Amino acid sequence: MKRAILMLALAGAVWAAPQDIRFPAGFEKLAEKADEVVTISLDADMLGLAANFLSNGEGDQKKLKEIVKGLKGIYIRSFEFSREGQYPMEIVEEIEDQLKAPEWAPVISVRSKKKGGDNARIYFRRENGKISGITIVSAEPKQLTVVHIVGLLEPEDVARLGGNFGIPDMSWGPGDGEGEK
Amino acid sequence: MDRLEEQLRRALQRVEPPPGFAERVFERASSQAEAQGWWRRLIEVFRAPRRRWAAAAVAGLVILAGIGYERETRRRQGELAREQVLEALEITAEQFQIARRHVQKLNAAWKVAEEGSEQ
Repeated sequence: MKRAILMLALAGAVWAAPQDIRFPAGFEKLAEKADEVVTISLDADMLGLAANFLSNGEGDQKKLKEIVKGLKGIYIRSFEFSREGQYPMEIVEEIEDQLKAPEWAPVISVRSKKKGGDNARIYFRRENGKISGITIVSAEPKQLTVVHIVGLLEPEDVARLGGNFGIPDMSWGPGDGEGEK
Repeated sequence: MDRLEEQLRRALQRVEPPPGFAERVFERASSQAEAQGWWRRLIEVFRAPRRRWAAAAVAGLVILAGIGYERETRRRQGELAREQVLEALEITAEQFQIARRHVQKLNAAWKVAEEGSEQ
């Protein structure tokens, strides 16, 4: 029995290693309430496997493969509800409490004082001047989304892929607002 | 001497087996013989050279089928992982856009407020 517990603990530690934030246990209950749930958990092995199935072609295909190869994990939980106020803000705080300085720094923070307003935060983790992790916490009245990406990824990389592979076309950087589709 | 004889007679006297003993012994002996026979028959089947080749071919096919199944499973996993990566990047890009829209909205509101205070 003790050995089984130890094995489970070790397995948990191995699983937790690349994903350096923990999703709250309350997410399971949210999934039951939500109309639409997106759950993506890709560790380094799965990303490596996915990279093998990406084309070696030129241009965007090549860029996408390079991006995926630089990643160590992608973890996404997204819940869409039919009505407002279906999730407690404590669950958002539970995630944000794990994203503390000096490791994590919020780069965009929108917080509505109104109850049921939009809240969005983007956190970057930097190592040696490069972004080594991105966490997006978006709490809208009817939707809660948490994106946690581990590995080297610049937002510009995602923007550059915009318009391809189903990724929305997006302009990134100051003064790009007009080009939005 | 009489006492020794008496002891020997008592020790060597015939004892009747419990009821059903003989049936149980026969049953066990026949089932063992049957099991041995089954194995022997199976070994005999593969003793003939042609059958040996057939058995090797069947084993080879089973191994190839296993490898094929494993590759197919891996291919499916890879394609699923690829789809998930694309979906993840799509969601990430959408979330960046949402955050950016919020910031733009705030900037516009601040500009209006600033212009109002200047006038």
